[in-house]
Amino acid sequence: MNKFKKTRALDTRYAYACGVIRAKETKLFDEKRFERFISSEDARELTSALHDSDYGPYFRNIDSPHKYEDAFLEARVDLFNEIENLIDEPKFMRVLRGRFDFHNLTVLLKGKIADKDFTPYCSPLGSIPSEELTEIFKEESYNKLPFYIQETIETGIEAYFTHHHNLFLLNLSIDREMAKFLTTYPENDFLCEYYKRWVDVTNLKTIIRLFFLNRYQELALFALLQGGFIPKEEILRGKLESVENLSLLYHRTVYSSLLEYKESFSGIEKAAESLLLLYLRSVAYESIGVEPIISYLFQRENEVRNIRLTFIGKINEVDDKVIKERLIL
Amino acid sequence: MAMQVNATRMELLKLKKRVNLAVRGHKLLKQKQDELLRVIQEIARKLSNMRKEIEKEFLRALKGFFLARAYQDKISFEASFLLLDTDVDLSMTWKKVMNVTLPEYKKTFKGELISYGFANTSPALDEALKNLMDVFDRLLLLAEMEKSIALLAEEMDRTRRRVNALEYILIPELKGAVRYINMKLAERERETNSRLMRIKDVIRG
Repeated sequence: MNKFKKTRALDTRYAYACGVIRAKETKLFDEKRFERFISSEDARELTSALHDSDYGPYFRNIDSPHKYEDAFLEARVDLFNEIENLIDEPKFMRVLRGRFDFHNLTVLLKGKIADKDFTPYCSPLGSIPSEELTEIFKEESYNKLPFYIQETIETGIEAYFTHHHNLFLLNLSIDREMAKFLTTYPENDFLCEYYKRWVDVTNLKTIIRLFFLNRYQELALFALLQGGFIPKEEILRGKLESVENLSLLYHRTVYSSLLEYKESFSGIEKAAESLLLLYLRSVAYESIGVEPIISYLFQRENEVRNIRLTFIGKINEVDDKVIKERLIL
Repeated sequence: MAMQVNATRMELLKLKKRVNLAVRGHKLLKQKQDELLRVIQEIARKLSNMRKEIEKEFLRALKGFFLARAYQDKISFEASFLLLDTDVDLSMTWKKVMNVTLPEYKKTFKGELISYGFANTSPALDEALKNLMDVFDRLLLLAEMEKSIALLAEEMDRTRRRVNALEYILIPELKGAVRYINMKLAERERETNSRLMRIKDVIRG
């Protein structure tokens, strides 16, 4: 597997969008900016520090720094809408919003199982509006949904009922279907490769998590995702007995940095996200094409995560050093 | 206030028995007080470090949980815990120490601690949940010990009041009454003696 495989042809359709994104990219927060945020006295000061950034309009609307999630949600809804307007290709957006569709699906399936209304937990970022999805679930007219979602519902329900109402397996089966969709549906090589890498790092993290829970042998078959560069079958064939085996098997891949942190879970998360960011930043010098737009979207999502981390750290009086350690830059 | 007693030999015998009983009771209560003090000191010694440690651990686990939560947005995080395969039950039984009923808390955990998917959640969340669960067990132990020490201290206070009442009020009063009857009886004897001597003189004279 090449680290940064060049598989893309230049696509002039996104020349304007790229120009817009290039201008916006300069406003992404760098390490120094985050250091300044971290050095804020408290969450209120952090909110003020964000006022002169792209997040300013959203943070001016909230009356307490504790409502930072409302501001982030609003900012993310606008970001996705903006990207949708720039790309103007529904199929593309369906993939980019796909994760949220699967999230909404999980929420509504759980609501159906518990016979409760979980609509407030639906994300507004999905490609299918949550109201529409709720209505479909209420009417049980699943045939109105795209085929991959119908298939996910079937698989999820089957996993839940054939394993003594096991919610864990329901979640894992939806994750599997999501990975299948994300790695096969995109017609763009860059996005497809991104999701393949995402599947790989998720699988490596899952293995470490299953060993931590002492449930690798029992759950590996259900929990590992398909569609990555490292085939699921190959991992299962490896018959891993400990996390050490994992390091031995994959230390020569691009994922070796992730395996160094098997003792610290926050370190693993950081290493995994950093690997994906590194891949996203590999298109930094591409002048046209849809790749810089995708890269920008994911980088903004990461930026929101970093600011959220800083907010949570400040509100809960976490040491500045710990916050800084956990930032994914 | 001095006791109102009849200065009779019967009363004296009764009072002497009461004094003996009170002294024995005082001795036993004193022993109970000492033992309670020992038990309380033992628990307090354990508690002084334990509370600090658990507070530190709890804070660390809680901060870990909050930081793990930062990897997901609020909706996604809350949705991860919407329906759980977990059933946690807290029960309380009682044990007797020095006639004091002390509680024993017991947590029973059924199901899966982690029942969310792995694709959209952070490994740090698993670690934080496990840490919180471990701290929860220690918190229960702390609650049990703190409640025990409070109940034992209450009993100790009650015992101390009883010991003091015996030592400074009842026993001195009873002893006073015994002394009073003894004096009264002796005086009565002397009176009888002098009366007899006087009668003897009158008869002789």
